[in-house]
Amino acid sequence: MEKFNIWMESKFVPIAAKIGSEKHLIAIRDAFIAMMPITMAGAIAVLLNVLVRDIPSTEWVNQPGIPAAFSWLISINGNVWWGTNAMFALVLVFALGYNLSKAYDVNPLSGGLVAFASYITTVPAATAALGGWGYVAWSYTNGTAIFTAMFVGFVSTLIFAKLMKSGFTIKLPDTVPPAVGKAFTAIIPGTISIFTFGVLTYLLTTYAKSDLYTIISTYVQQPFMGLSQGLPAVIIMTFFVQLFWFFGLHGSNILGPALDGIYGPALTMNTAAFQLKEKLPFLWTRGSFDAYAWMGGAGCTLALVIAILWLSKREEQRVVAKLSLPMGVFNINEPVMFGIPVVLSPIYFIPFIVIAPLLVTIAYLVTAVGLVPPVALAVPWIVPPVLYAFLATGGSLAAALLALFNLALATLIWAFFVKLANKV
Amino acid sequence: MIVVECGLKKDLIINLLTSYKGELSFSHISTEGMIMKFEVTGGSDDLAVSIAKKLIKADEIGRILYVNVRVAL
Repeated sequence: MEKFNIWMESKFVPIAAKIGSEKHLIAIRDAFIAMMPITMAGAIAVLLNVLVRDIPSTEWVNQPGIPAAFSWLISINGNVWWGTNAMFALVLVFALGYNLSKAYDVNPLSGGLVAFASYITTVPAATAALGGWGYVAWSYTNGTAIFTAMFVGFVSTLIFAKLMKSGFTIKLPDTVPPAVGKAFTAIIPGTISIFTFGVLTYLLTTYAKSDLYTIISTYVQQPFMGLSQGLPAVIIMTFFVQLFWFFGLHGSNILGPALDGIYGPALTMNTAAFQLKEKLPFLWTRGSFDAYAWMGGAGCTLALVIAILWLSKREEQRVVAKLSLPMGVFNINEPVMFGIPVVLSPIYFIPFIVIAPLLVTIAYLVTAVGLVPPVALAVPWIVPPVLYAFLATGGSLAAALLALFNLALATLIWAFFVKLANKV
Repeated sequence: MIVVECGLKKDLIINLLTSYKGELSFSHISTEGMIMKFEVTGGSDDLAVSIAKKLIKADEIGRILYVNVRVAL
């Protein structure tokens, strides 16, 4: 183990640090993080509608009076959803432009606004269905447009930032107020960036008879998301997060761009479909990992805490487990990870690496055969396991039972190794 | 006294904290396995925990490490 640690520190950690410090990846990750108030507000609106509209309307509750009594709240939730989830791509493109500009050390507000305007430049101003000019179809603003928003946000901000850095700007005397000076400096880079997308959109609509959103959705987004939805991709992603955590690396920080950048959009698109009561387009989303595998934290460590309290004869582990339990219920697992410790522990290596991929496999297959609905709603990560699955699937009891089953199975596997630890 | 728990790059963390020149100072007491103990002078342990977390997260390598920082029991 010591030799492996030395190898990790000298060979792997520098590579992981480079990935973890890559400014474009950080900009994506930070853009998604910055959007949390928006995504959470949208998710709360949808969740409230689940509680006062969808669940009371089901056959097993059958209380039509509840949705009628809460029609005012349902309307408010609809308004909030319209301003948040339905405008997800617009929020993302601004957040990405802002964060990428910050990474390039140029005016972030201008960068965000230029990215936003560039994106709108690519959106058709009228559609045949609307039959007029000046309308925007909401499919261009919601979660389904995430990849286009990311592409435009990235490229427009890169053009803007590179031109700003190259000094191809209007320079005003020092006597000009800073706010005015900054705005003038951004004029040429911003104009070139926005015009680039104006020209691109013209070329696509004129010669390809299409638009950027349709092209990216068809030729990039759908194949890419399809690839990420396969069971091998889900297992590999889970495995590497586990591996990083075990060896003392911040799995979510290193793989955050992949987790949030691939499975986050899937969640957002599922949310949009859920709100419209349409078929959910994605089987596996960002919340699926938390709902079914990372209960109590990465490695399903809540199950470890339960197993220790159940079977451990080692007093020091029982003390740590007792202290860790209240936090584990809310998915905080540092006390158990470092207190037992699980990090770099030869005894707990196998369960920590194996359990989460096993749990995602079970959850994936059960979801694939249709016994539980896919995760569709964003839920704060501190929501306790089982309840998390219930809420994230819009009130599915089957999903809650699946999470409970996974927790019990993980406890049994952890228990075997806890008994082994008793003998050490 | 504060405790920093981390499996990797312990030398880096010790260096980050002990070279800090700010409102308080850290001196490295001991390292045992993953547990590093630091004496804090010039400020409270709670403040030291907050500063230590910021110092580690601000570092290019530190931000990818899985670290737990807490007041010593």
